[in-house]
Amino acid sequence: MEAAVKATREADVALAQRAADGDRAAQRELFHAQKHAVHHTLFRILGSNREIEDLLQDSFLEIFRALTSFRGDSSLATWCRTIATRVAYLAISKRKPPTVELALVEDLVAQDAPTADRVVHARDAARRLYAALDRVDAKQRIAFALFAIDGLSIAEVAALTESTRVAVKTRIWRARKDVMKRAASDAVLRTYLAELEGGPR
Amino acid sequence: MKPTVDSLPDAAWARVERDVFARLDAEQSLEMPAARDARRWWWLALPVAISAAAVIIAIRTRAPAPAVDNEWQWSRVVAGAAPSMVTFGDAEVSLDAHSAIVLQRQVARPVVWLERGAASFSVASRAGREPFVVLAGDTTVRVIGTRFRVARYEERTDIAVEHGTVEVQYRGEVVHVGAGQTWTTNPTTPTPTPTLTPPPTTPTPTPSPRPRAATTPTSTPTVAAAPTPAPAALSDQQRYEALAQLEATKPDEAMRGYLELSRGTSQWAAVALYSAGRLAADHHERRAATLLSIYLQRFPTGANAADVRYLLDRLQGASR
Repeated sequence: MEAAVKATREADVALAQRAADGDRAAQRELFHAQKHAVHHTLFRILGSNREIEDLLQDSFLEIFRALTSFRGDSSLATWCRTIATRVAYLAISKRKPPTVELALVEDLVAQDAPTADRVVHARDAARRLYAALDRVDAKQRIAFALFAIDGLSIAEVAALTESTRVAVKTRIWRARKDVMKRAASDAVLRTYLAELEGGPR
Repeated sequence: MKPTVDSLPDAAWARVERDVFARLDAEQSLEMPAARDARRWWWLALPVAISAAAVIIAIRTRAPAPAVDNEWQWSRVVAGAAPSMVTFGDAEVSLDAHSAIVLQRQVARPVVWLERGAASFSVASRAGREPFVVLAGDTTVRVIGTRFRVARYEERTDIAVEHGTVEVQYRGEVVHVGAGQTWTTNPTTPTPTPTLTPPPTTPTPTPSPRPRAATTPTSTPTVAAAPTPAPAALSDQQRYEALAQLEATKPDEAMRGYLELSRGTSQWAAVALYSAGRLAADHHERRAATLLSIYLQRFPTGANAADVRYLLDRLQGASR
C-alpha cells in the first residue's frame, strides 16, 4: 500500500515538473486529472454560483504558477484543492454582503414525501444554507463548508486551509453559531442543519 | 441529504480549458527575458545569495513572510449588458457591454488582457513609469502614453488611437500607431496581415472599432475618409454571436446555423466551422472529427488551428 502511495506521489511530482517546465501536454493532463477535484472544492465552499467558471480558471492559473513549489508532500489532488480553497477564500473576501433577505417558509416536507420532492427540498435548503454562509466570515465559512457540508475531518480541513486543528475547530464553532442564529427563524434551514450534522461522517 | 455538486457541462469545461491556456500563454509571452536569463544562470549567483541570506537572517527580526501572491495580483472584469469603467493604477479603462478583461499587475508592469469585446484606455504618459501593455490575441500593444481603443472580434483585432502613440507587435512585426490612426489585422486571408490606416480629416472624439479601408503604413499620416463598414460582414458576426448564445439551450439549432455559416467566405466561416466541430465534440458526435479535419484543410493557419489539433488528438485518444 505504502509503495503504491509512493509511486503515485512520484508520478505526481514528475507530472508537475513537466507541466512547470511548460510542457503543454503535461499541463493539459494535469488540468484533466484535477479539474473535478478543484470544481468539487469550489462548489462545496461556495455552493451553486454563476462565477464558477471564472473561479475554475483562476484556480488553474494559480496552480500552474505555483507548480514549481509542489514537492509531493501531499497528493497532487490535495495540493490543487488547497489552492482552490485559497481562490475561494479570495472570492468570498471580495464579495459584498448580500442585501436580499430570504423569505421564511415554515412548511416542511414530510419525511415520507416522494424522492423528487425531497431532492427539490434539499436543494432549497442548501440554497438557504449557502445564503446564510454568505454572511459568515470567509475563513469560518470555508472551515464549516469543508467540515459540515463536504464531510472532511478536522485534520483534512486544517491541511486544505493551511491552519492548525485548533483554529479550524474554533472557526467551525463560530460559523455554526452564526448559521444557527439565522436558522432560528428558518425552520427549513434548522431541520436541514440538524440532518446534515447528524449524518454519517 | 448533502447538497449535490452540480456537474459542469462539457461545453463549460471546454471554455474553462481554452481560457486557462490562453491566459497561461499570455503570461508566458510576457515573461521578462532578464528573468529567464537569471534563472538559467542562478548557480553563479548562489554564493552571493547565501552570503546575503546569512546577513538577512542575522539582522531580521520577527517580520512576517511576504504573501505568496505578491508577485501576481490580478482580477477579471466582465461587463454585462451595460458598459463598465475601471481604474487600474494610473489608467482608466472603459469596457464595452459584453466585454471582458483581465487586469494583471506583474512586478512593476501592468498588463491588461482583452479577453473579448472592446475597451477604451486612457493611460498617462509612460515617461519614467513602467510600461503598460494590452494583449489581444496575437497582438501586443505597448503604450507610450495615450487614449486608445482595442477591440477583439474572434480572429480580428482593431486598434484606434485617439491621442498619443502605441507600439503594436503582431507576429513578429512592430508598428507605431499614432493619434487618429487605426490598425487592424486583416482576417480575410489565411494569415492575417496587419494594416494601418491614416487619420480621417476631422479626428473623431470616439474612434470606431470597426475596420476601415487599408492603406500602406506611413510615418506621415495623410488625410483619408473612413468608409462605412460592409453590412454583410456585420450580419455574419451577428449571426455567429446569436448562434453562440443558442448553444446552451438549443445545440441542434446552433449546429445547423454554424454549418450554414461555415459554407460562406467571410472570416466568420472559419469561426463557425470550428464552433461546429467543437460543439459536435462536446456532444460526442461522430461527425466531430470530420468537421475538425475539414477546418484544418480549409484554414490550416486559422486562429483556432491549434485548438482543432488538440481536439482531434483528444478524439483520437478517446477512440483508441
